[in-house]
Amino acid sequence: MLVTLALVASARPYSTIGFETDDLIETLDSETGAVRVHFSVEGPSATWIQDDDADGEPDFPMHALVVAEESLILYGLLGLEPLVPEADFGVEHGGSAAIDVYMPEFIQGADGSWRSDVCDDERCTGHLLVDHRFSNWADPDDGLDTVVPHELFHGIQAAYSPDWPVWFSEGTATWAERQYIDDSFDFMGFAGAYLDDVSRPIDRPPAGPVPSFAYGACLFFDFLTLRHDATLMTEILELGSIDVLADPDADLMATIDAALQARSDTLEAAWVDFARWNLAVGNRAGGVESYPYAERLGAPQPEERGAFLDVDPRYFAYGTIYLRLAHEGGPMALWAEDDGSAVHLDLFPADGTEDIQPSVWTGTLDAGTQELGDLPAGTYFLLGTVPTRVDQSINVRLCLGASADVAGCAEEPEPTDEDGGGCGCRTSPSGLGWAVPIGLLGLVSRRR
Amino acid sequence: MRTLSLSLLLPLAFSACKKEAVYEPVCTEPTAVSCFDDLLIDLSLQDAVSNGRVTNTPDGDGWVSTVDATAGGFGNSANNPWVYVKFTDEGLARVDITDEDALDSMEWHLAARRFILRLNSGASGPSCVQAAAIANGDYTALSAADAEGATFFADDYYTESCDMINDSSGLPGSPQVALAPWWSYPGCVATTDVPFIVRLDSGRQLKLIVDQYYGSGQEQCNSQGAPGNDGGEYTLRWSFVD
Repeated sequence: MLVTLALVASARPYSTIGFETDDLIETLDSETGAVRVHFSVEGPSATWIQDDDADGEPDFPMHALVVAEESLILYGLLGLEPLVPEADFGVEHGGSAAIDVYMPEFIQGADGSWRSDVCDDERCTGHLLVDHRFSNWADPDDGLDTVVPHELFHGIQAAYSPDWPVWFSEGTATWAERQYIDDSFDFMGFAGAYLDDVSRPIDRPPAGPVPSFAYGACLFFDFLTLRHDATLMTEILELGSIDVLADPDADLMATIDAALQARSDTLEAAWVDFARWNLAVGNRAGGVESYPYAERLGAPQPEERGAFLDVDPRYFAYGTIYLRLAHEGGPMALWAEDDGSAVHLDLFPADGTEDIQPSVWTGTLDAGTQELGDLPAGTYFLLGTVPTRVDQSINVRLCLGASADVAGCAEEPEPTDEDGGGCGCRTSPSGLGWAVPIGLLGLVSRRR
Repeated sequence: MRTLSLSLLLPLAFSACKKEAVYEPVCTEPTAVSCFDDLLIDLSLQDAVSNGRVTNTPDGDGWVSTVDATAGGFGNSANNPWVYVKFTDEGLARVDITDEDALDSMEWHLAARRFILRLNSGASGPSCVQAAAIANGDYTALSAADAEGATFFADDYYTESCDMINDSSGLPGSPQVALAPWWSYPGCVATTDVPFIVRLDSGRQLKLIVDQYYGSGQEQCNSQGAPGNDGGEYTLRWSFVD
């Protein structure tokens, strides 16, 4: 049904949405009445109004309507809470009780957002905005297929809690993109942003207004739901809402651990496998288990590489460092100056085309020398990751290479900071405030 | 010959001693950076040295210095190191040091990356460089007298539990550094023309103002809120005041 509306003053007037006074705005309602799309057919926010299928309604806003409805059905099938109805807060915006999707012109690079209208302590109701044309996308329909499910998922999150840490809110919303479109290139792109910086704790995106890394946490959530099934997300949100409502700084990695333990799994085990899968992607995919789309991802770069490594990597909780060794063949050893036993290690050979092969050695970063075996010549990757919460980062000098070379490290200790004139004085608190909450009362924007 | 040498050296020695006597050091020993891991993560500190260009042009008794803190450009700064500099009688000098090593070093005074300027103090570094913003101050007229009664701040932007204290810009992850008042955010990084008195660890003081953040288009940003080009191409004006 197509309805033409004037620019009217209401509790959510079009002027606050981004439409201009000279926009001629129309609406489309879904047959179920669950979704209403508001779009402009003339004016600054005029959308694509072609009607190629000659059904009497413009195809592009109709596509937005269909994607929104299908996304909501999908989320319902996963057992997720529905978006909070406006009626629960005694309001009716947009001229009906439907979920409102607005299509104004976006500026400054964003292409969609979820806005909460009103919240109580536990949840919010709100509405969606998506760009009027998605002109920056090769295919504007791809924009709708990506952004509508993403922003609707923020609405789902708001049904559980008004506030989530940004890495969790954006990571799960980007995860939702792939639930709707299996080969979502937007998902793949953001997964790459994570793989570009895997040494960073996944729940600590970098500062700044464009935290692609936060969106990239989608890869972890996809790993978890591939490891189990997509309804795991429902369980994580249910447990997470309890935790973040009780404490906005709650450690959601602990929440995920609890959800996994309810399925006879642990975060520690899952995280190590996540780090393994992430090594075997891109040009390294094919030899061991990884994502079904592993070849489409860019392989994370090793932090150091060489025929013999004498390095001092810094390992953070829920971060991973890969070292690449060109081994000449024969006994290989690992030496560590201090104990860093919270660091899980795996040694993976790679074949001639760099495809990762099954691990040949697994252990932890223990002080002293560990013999890794008599290994044939070739390329090896040493995976190091901290799959548990630790109070502070682990910074240990280590040597990796032929056993004869590694023996030299133990005999010739590297100069310390004190020797070099630095103060060598660093402290960390006993506990780290890992989660950074964001306010969802306002605006959750994508790629601002 | 020996007599001649001594006569040449004495004035230099006296001069050096005189300078040492004039300034009361604020600190001489480093202090531990309290939230080390958080700082590494929150500010994306790198195990690398910046090659950001630093230039100096004499400006009366002081200098106009440029600092290339573009850090790979918009969206790439998290993967690039900060530029570290120190104020000297010969101009602003780059200190080639990694981000991580800088947390142990008193050699630098100021660090720049994109729109954040850190001082070597508090959460940012082990020294005690502090700054006082002189609201409504006129950079040209500022003198050592303006430092008297001014409130100096170190870079203290972490709580005891190491939660970052953000500035008032509204940009996420933008710490409340002592030099934060140099800019505002009307949709781009606008200069506020707020001058500062900076007190070095040696006790020596200088006045400082950020004239430009963008390589070009600063005025457009300041007046219209439209971003300029080459964000992080700082133009700083500064002069020792004592």
